[in-house]
Amino acid sequence: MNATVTKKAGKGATDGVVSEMATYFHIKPGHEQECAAACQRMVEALKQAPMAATIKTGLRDTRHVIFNNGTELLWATTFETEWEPYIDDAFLTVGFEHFVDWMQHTTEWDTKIAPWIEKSGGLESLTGDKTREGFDEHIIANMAGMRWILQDGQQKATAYWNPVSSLTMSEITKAERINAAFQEVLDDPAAEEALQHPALKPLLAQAAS
Amino acid sequence: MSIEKGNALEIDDIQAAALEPRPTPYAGAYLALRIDDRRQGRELLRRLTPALDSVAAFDPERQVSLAVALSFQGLKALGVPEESLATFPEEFREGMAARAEYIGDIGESAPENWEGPLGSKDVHLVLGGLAPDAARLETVLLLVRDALRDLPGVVAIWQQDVHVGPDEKEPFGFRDSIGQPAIEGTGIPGTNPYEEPLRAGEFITGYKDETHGITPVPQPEVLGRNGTYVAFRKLHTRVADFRQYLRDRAKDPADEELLAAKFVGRWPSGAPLALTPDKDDPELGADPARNNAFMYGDDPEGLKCPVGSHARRMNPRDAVVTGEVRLHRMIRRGTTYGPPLPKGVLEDDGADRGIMFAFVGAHLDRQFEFVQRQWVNDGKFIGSPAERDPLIGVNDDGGFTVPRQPIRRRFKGLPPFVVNRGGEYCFMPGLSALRWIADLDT
Repeated sequence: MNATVTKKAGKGATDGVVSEMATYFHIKPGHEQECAAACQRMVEALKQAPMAATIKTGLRDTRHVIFNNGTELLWATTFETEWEPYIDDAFLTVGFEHFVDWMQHTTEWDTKIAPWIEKSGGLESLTGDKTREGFDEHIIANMAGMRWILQDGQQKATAYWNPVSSLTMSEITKAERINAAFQEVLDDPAAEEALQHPALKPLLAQAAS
Repeated sequence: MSIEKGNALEIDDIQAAALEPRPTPYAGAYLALRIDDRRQGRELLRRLTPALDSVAAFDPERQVSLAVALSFQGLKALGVPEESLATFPEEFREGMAARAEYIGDIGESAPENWEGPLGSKDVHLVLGGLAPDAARLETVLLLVRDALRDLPGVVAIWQQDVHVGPDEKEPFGFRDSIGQPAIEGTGIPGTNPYEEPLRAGEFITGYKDETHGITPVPQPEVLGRNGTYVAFRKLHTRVADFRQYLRDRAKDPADEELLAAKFVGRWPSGAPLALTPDKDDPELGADPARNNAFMYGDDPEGLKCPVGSHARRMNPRDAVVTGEVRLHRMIRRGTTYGPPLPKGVLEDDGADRGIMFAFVGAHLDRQFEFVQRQWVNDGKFIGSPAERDPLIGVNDDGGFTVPRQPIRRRFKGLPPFVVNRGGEYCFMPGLSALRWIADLDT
């Protein structure tokens, strides 16, 4: 691809360590079911990933909403830290093929992405056997175009709130581990006596429930 | 991917100084020039360009290099047409001072406190000369002085000499500039055998980069291709404060040395904590084949090398962090200026000492600025939003956690140990581009 993308990702709204990004697409006529299935496949793939991989993607949540009688699609997601500087990272870490899978059912694919593909030497087909040789390479070569389409359909949230926005996923998962360990301590009959030590006063204060 | 020379990379057109590691030991100088007369500025480029080595011609044995880089204001002063200027990236066009708040140059590091003329619109052309010793540096400087002869319309407005510290250490007492990424097609070996070579477009304009896009080329092609961006910064180091901070919190001298290493991520010798977590290993530190041959994947909690330490932040390697580390790799060059603070001294002697830092890369925004914002002055990417880089972060009562069994150590009240005295974003053009500018008739 010899063309260049200079437009920066749009800024979403932020709350604490989390930022949001919402992008809107139009679904190709007759592609509603395929689009929905592809969106579900992406989410399933993300669900399967271990926590370390999820932290790497930065995704806090993601949802696809098909609306307006199956003609439009909202991809709404929140991201740990700022979306804007990490937009390239997201494609690489989530895996470009997951985006292609559902985006190919949108009209934006034909009007915006296909011309990029054309410029980059053409892409025979984005459907069919994904394991065939060269498929990933072809897909990934068009990442810049994909970044552009995502930014082009973005709308900043008018209002955004996340009640646990002060915590990163690392801190949340650590808090879960610490709570499990603390509950284990409290299950020990000797815990009450052990927690009387002045150094453990803050823990004793959390032991009642 | 291969680092073998060639691979469609036009290494005979890329300035050697952009990619070649600096010599060690070394002597060097940074010079900033103001161009009052564009024709004389072009004449200077005409005279200097033949003296510049390309990557293809660079002799690693000789290790003498001269670099020519231009700020956005410099391109303007040389008469590069407006339609070309408009094709450079926004952050470069704005310059480092205008981006100060965005990249964390605030408080004492804010441009209003910079050393003049850094941060002004007068820094047009920056020359960087490096050699293995002062005598050979002098030959480079002679050449520059000779090129400047009879050109009153080009004025030297700032110079910073740099030199290797004792034991090849930077002012805090650590061997630095150890890491060098392997770059596809350059023939320059990287220092970490576990890191795949990076695509050339991460460092040179006009080639495929790690996003599989082509790195934007400022237009016309002859001007923008085979160039790179340089962000240079004069970083004043508060060595006495650093020593005193550690002294106040360490149990004994050995603990003091361990704490310093935990802050930095390496021991004074350069030996990485990842390979020798409990004590320094000077032999390892001095061995270029081993001192950067490691990853962090086996140390997820940072028990060997703290997750938030300076070196681990600068290059998290395979550690679990938000994002894709390969998109934010940089060539980082550090050279020392000023006298060392004698060993054991805890009182500041008022001398200016520090590091002339140079970033080299093809993406100012997602490399240098990203690292400043996300990795140096933030901690969300490692899951610790309240912590910044303990050594170079803009700390003001900052915190730093050193993982340790059975109980971690937590440090509070961190002051800033490094203050930016000024810097600039420059474009280091390819040799054809320099000739094109020299031949302009605007």
